[in-house]
Amino acid sequence: MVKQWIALVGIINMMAFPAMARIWVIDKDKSILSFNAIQNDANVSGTFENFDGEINFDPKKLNESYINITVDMVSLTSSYKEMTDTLKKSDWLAVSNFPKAVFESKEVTLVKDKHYSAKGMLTLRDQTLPLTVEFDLDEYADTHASVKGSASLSRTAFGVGQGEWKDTSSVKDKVVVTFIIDATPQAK
Amino acid sequence: MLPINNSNQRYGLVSVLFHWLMAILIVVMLILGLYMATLPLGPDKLKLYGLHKAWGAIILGLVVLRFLWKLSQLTPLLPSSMKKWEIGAAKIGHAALYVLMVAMPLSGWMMSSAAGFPVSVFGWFSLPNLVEPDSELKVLFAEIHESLAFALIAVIIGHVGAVILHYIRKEPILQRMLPW
Repeated sequence: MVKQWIALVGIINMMAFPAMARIWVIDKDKSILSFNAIQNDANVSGTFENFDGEINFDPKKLNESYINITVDMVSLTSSYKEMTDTLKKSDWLAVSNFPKAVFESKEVTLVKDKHYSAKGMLTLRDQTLPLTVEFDLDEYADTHASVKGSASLSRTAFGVGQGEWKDTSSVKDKVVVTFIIDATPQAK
Repeated sequence: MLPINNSNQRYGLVSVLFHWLMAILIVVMLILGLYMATLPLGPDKLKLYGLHKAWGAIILGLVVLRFLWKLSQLTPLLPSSMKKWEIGAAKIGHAALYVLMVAMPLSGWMMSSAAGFPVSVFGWFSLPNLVEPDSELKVLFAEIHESLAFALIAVIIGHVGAVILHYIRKEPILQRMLPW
């Protein structure tokens, strides 16, 4: 009888608290999300000031790890106000119609050493397409973790740059998104 | 065939080449600059800005070489028929041209740096940014670049006007810079 009770409690526990990798809370002050594009053969960049997400990551439980990042597209800034304003307009990111971009991955794998890849889907504007994010786990401790990484995407595949901007000779198709994410474990 | 070096009478081949090559580039750049600024933002505008910036970098390089060459050379003497103030005006005018030939590309480079759009020279290489990206600085350098452009146009008009004046007076000034 006692054994059965213990088993039952165990089952209820598993249902209520499924075995999960560790949950991390993004430290917004220390985390950075930016993009780099090539315009006229020279780099241009900008940052998204505001992004958040659910990160469930444990190097020992990669099969249970998942990453959901939501980017506030309105929070885009760059060194050049005219560029920021232009990128927010309908031809580019159309932030009033598509205020959020979302990356979701449930496929986090170790590539080598501290280098990981997260295969998932990116929703940007009205397109949802596969995207692989690569990152290095720079720090992983009980109280703090830090990763930095990048992903490369085709802006035209997502419809970023409509009309005459589909032309990729002045603004190249490839855009590299880079990030540093600092996180602390969620309080239990 | 023109001698390579300047003499007391006339400019040599290298000076003549520098003068006319840069004259053409500068006039085209002034027209291009004034034109492209009026275009609506689009790929065409960006391409013209890219060209303008690349050629600006080339001109900056050329003016440095040209100035070093000038330092190593004689300056042909001015006609003795010229009045003292005219000689003074000629010297100030030429000094202004050199200052503006340096200040124009430099202010454009600063403007590009402040905008966060580095200057790429035809994709061969990019110039380093002179200042950190900054919206207010960008506006300031843009205004300086534009004002200098109008100053340069004024000095060029003075330069060409003086050549015409000398021509009318039958003073041999233009001949000293002609390639023949």
